[in-house]
Amino acid sequence: MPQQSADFERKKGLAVLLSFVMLAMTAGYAFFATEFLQQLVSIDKQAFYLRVSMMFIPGLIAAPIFLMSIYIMLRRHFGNLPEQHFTLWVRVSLVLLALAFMMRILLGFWLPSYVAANGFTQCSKLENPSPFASQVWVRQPQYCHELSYLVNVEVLEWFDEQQALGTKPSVEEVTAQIEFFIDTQKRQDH
Amino acid sequence: MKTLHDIQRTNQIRMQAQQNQQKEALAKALAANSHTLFVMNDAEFLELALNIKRQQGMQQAQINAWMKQLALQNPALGQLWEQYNERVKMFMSAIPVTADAAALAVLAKDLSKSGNLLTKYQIKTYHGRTYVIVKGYPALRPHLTGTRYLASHPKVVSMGIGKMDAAKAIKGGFILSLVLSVGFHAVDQLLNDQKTWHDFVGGVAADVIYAGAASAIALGFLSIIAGGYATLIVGPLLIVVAVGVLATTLFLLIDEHVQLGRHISQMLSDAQNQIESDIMRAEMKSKRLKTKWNEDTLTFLHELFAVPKWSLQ
Repeated sequence: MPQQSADFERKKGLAVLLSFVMLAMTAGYAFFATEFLQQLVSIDKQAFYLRVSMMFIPGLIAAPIFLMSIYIMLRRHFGNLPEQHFTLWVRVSLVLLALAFMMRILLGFWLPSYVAANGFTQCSKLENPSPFASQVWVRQPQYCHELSYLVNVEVLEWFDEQQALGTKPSVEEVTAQIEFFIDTQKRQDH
Repeated sequence: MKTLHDIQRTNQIRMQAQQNQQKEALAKALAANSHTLFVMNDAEFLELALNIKRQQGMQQAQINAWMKQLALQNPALGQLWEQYNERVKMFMSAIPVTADAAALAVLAKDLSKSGNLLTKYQIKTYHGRTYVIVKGYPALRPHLTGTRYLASHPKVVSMGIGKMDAAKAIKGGFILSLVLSVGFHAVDQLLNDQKTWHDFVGGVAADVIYAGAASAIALGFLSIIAGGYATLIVGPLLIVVAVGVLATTLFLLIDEHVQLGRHISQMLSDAQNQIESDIMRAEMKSKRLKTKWNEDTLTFLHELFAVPKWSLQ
């Protein structure tokens, strides 16, 4: 095992801080993955849209790495970390990473066709313009307005509200609402 | 025989050399990871184009011929060039805002073909004004400071990110995520025409912040895992890189709800509106003062120097 260095005490604080960060990251992936799986299970009940990310489930698979890393960091700085535990951490983590990577590839093939088969249409105009962003699939193709990217947050929040209230507006009402959001945004810009 | 003083002195020199090395590494890392976006209006861009051609050794007649040739592709560019020439002849400082995006696109395309200076650029219209966004290169900087407009009115948004002592793998990942991010937002702009340069800069800035935070986590984790080991074998290093990637992904997924890029974009837009309205107010004020001066110079001077105006009548 490594010798204790001069800044060992300082690293103790960093280990505690990173433990909290990794705990939060585990909770984040667990939350997003649970929410996503719930949506997939009740896909017929999604009246407006579905947020599809290929990273939720691989993230959940890889999340135990964070928990194991917390153990490694704390045990190493606040106790004595056996060599076997370190080796086991590396091996299990690499296996989990390989599994997560394979799952990501499989989901890339399967998820879009599954969601499309359930009557959804992908709407890139409602997606966040960043790498790794979730795909947004809408129940009706008319919900994907050409200028939706200007008001994607407002539109998705409105969809969430309607879903929570259980209202069932017609396609015309939904498109009118989207156009209203777009007009309001344009007026604000000019 | 070495005395205690000698040993201390040697240690001091060694530490000094180490610090110097670290400083050099930091300077290098900062230079390597530095990205600069230049946002300029149509007048500034025309000046920049002319400056590039002058630096390349073109005479005025050659520049005229070059512009005329380009004007065949887009007549609006020809009109802009005529207006520019008129203004120069009359010793006026600013070109009226008449250039459209297509005219500037012709100019930018030609510059990207010849000088290799503008390999990445975008042209956006916002509030009826045309802006050019150029991703900066050191070769471009002398030209930017060499133009009349840019030297006096710089609108430069710089983002410098550097990491010292970073494992090569993490450094690579960090740079890669930046390049992807810039490309991603550029494509987003091209596909969604009503998005503005604020969205572009805001989006890239948000990604840079997330990538920086994720890199900090990965670097901290690396220092804890690697501490005490002379060399780190591949397995733990892969895990550290994976932690960085997973952190970035999680941040970007959370951003779908937080919308940091959009907030930054809104802030930029508000700041621009504020500056424009301030300039307008200042112009109106100066016009009012000019009118006052013309109408009654004596009263104006009395008011200016707070000298009481008495009458003996």
